[in-house]
Amino acid sequence: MTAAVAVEVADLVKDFRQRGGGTLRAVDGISFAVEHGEIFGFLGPNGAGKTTTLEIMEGLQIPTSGSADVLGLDSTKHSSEMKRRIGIQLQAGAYFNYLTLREILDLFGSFYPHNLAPDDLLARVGLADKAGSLIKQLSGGQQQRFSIVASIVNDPEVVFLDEATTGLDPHARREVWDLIRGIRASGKTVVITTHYMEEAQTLCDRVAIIDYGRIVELDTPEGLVRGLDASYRIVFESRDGVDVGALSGLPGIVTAGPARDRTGAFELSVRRPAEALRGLLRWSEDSGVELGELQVLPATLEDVFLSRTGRALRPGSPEEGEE
Amino acid sequence: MLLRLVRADLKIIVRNRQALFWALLFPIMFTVVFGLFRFDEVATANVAVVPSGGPAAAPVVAGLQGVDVVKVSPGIGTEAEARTALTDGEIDFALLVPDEGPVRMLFVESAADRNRIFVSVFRQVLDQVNIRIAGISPRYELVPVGVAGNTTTYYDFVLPGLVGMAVMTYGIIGIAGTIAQYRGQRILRRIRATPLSPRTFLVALGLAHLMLAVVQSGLVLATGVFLFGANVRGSILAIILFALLGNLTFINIGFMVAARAETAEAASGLGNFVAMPMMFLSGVFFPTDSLPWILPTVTSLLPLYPLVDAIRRISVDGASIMQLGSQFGQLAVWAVGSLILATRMFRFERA
Repeated sequence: MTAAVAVEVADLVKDFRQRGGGTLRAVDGISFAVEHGEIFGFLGPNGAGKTTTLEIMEGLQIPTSGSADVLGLDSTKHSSEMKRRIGIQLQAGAYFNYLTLREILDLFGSFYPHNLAPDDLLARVGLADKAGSLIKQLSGGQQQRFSIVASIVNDPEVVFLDEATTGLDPHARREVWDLIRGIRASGKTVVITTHYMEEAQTLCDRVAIIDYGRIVELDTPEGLVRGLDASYRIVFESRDGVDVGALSGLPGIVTAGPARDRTGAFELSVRRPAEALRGLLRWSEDSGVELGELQVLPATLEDVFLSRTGRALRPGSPEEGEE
Repeated sequence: MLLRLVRADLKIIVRNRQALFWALLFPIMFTVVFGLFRFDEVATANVAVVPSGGPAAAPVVAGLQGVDVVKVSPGIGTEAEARTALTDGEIDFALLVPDEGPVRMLFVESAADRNRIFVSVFRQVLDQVNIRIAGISPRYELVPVGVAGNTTTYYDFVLPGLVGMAVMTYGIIGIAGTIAQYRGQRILRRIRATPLSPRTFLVALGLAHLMLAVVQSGLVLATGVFLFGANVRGSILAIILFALLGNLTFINIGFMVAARAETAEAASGLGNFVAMPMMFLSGVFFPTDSLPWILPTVTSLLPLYPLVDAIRRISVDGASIMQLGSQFGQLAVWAVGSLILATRMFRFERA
C-alpha cells in the first residue's frame, strides 16, 4: 500500500499537437521523485511545462511517453484508485458559482469514500463564518484558501497545488503559505508549482527548476544557492561615477554591474563576502568613491535561475499559455 | 452520491436567476400572453346610429342596447360625420335610420368575416324592433341554453404546444449552456480530478433537468387552466409522462450542442439555432398540415412534433396513453437515437 516515495516520475514526455500542424514538446524527458512528507516545488516561468507535468501526475493528462507513479499507482493506468488518495487544486476557480462553500465541500466530499467535515475544513482556513457564502462573495485570498482546503476534502496523502498564490497580495500569500505548511504538518506530501522565486525558497523543502520542459536543477533551496559560483551579492549606491570594470578585478568578486532590482545601484556577485568587502572598502577609500546603502545579501533562486538559463525569472515575462 | 448531485444541480438551477427565467418564467410568459388575447371571441363593435336622437332612431338604439357585442357611440349627427368616423376607425359600423325608407348599414370593407357576422346581428335587432312596433307577440323565440361540450378554443389548442415548447427550449439551451459554462470555469476538469465518474455527473444533471421539466409542464398547465380557464380533458399525469419522454431527447440534443460549442455564448447561440425553427415547425402555435410540398412530413419527423401532438391529443381529445402508441414509439426512438449520438459526440473535457 505504501510506496517508498510519494511520487516517482520517470522519463516523462508530453507532446501537444499544434494548431498550424507540428508538435510542441511541453515536457521533455523529466524524471524525479518526491519523498513522503515534503513540500516539493516546481519553479519556472509560465509555459515551462509545470502545469502539464502536474496534470500528468494527477491523471488529468496522458503522457506521450514515460510514467508517473503516485503512491505506487500509475497515474494513467490506475487513475481512479489514485484519485481517491490525492487532492488537487486547479490553477483557477473551478467551483460552482451558485453553491455555498459548505455545499461545495459537502458535494465534493461525497465523491470520496472517506471525507472530512466541511465545517472543520472551513474553520481550519478561517472561513467558518463564510460557510453559507458563495465563492463570488469571497476576497481573492479567501477564494484561494478555499480552493486549497477543498483539495483536502478527502484527507488525501498527496496534495497537488497549481500556482496556489498567483495574483495574491503579499499578506494573502503568506496566509496561503501557512496553510500549506499546516497541510504538510498533518503528514501529507505537497507538490506545488510556482513562478515566484520567494515562494519556492521559503516554502519548499526541495525545488525543481524547470525550463522549456526540462528540469535544469533539483535540490533544496539552500543547496541550489550553495551550488552557485557566487553565492552572495553586494549591493550599493553611489553618486559618483563607478568604474565597474575595475571592481571585477578585485579578489573574491565574480562579476560586477548595475543592480538588477534597484535602479541607479550597483551589484557584485561574490564568492567570499568578507574578502570582497575588504577589497571594496579599500577601493572606496583609494578612489574616493562614496558607498551608500551597502547591503550584503545571500544569493537567491533568482540568481540560480539566471545562472542556469541565462534569463531572469520574472512573473509576467513573455509567455506561452500554460497548457 | 447521485442524489446529492441532483440536489446540488437543482439548487444551482434555482439560484441562477437567468437559467430560472428560461426554465419557468419564459414559458409562463407565453402562456399568459396567449391567455390574454381572446382569439375566439368577437370583439365588441362601436356603432353610431344616425341621426342620433331622431324619432325613428330611438327604438333602434333601444334595441341595440340589449345586444352585448355592440356599443352605441353617441354624438354623430350626419352621414358625412359617420363616414369620417368609420374611415378613422372611431366606429366600426353606422346605421343610417331615415324617417322613411330602409335602414342603411355602413361598414369598412376590409374585415369581411366580421362584417358578415354583424350584418346578421343588426338584421336581428331590426326584426325585433319591427315586431315590437307591430305589437305582435312572437310565436317563436330563441333561448340559447349552454350545454358543456367539446368546444375547443385556440387557447386549448396552443396550451399543449406551450408545454412542449417549454420542455424543449430548456432541455436544449439549459443543458448546453450549463455544460459550456462548467467547461469554461474548469469545473468539468475539477470533477475529473475526483474519483467521480463523469457519467454520474452528467446523468445527475440530466435528472435535475427532467425534474424541472415536470415543474415546467405543471406550471404552464396550471397557469392555463386556473388563470385562463383552458380545458384539459385527459390525464395530467399522462401529459407529464410524455413531457419527460420528450425531454430525454432534448437533453441529449443539449449535450450535442455543448459538444460543438466552445463558449457559453456559442452554446446559447447554437442552442437557439436548433430550438427556434423546431418551435415553429412542430405545430406549437399552428398546425403544420397546411405547409406546402413535403414539409408537413418533414416537420412531423422532428422530435418536438410527436411530443406536442401527443400532449395535444391528451389535453384536447382526452386521449389515453394507450391511444398514443405511435407518438410514444417515435419519441422513444428519438430518445435512444439521440442518446447514442450524444454519447459519441460528447467529450467530458478536451484533453
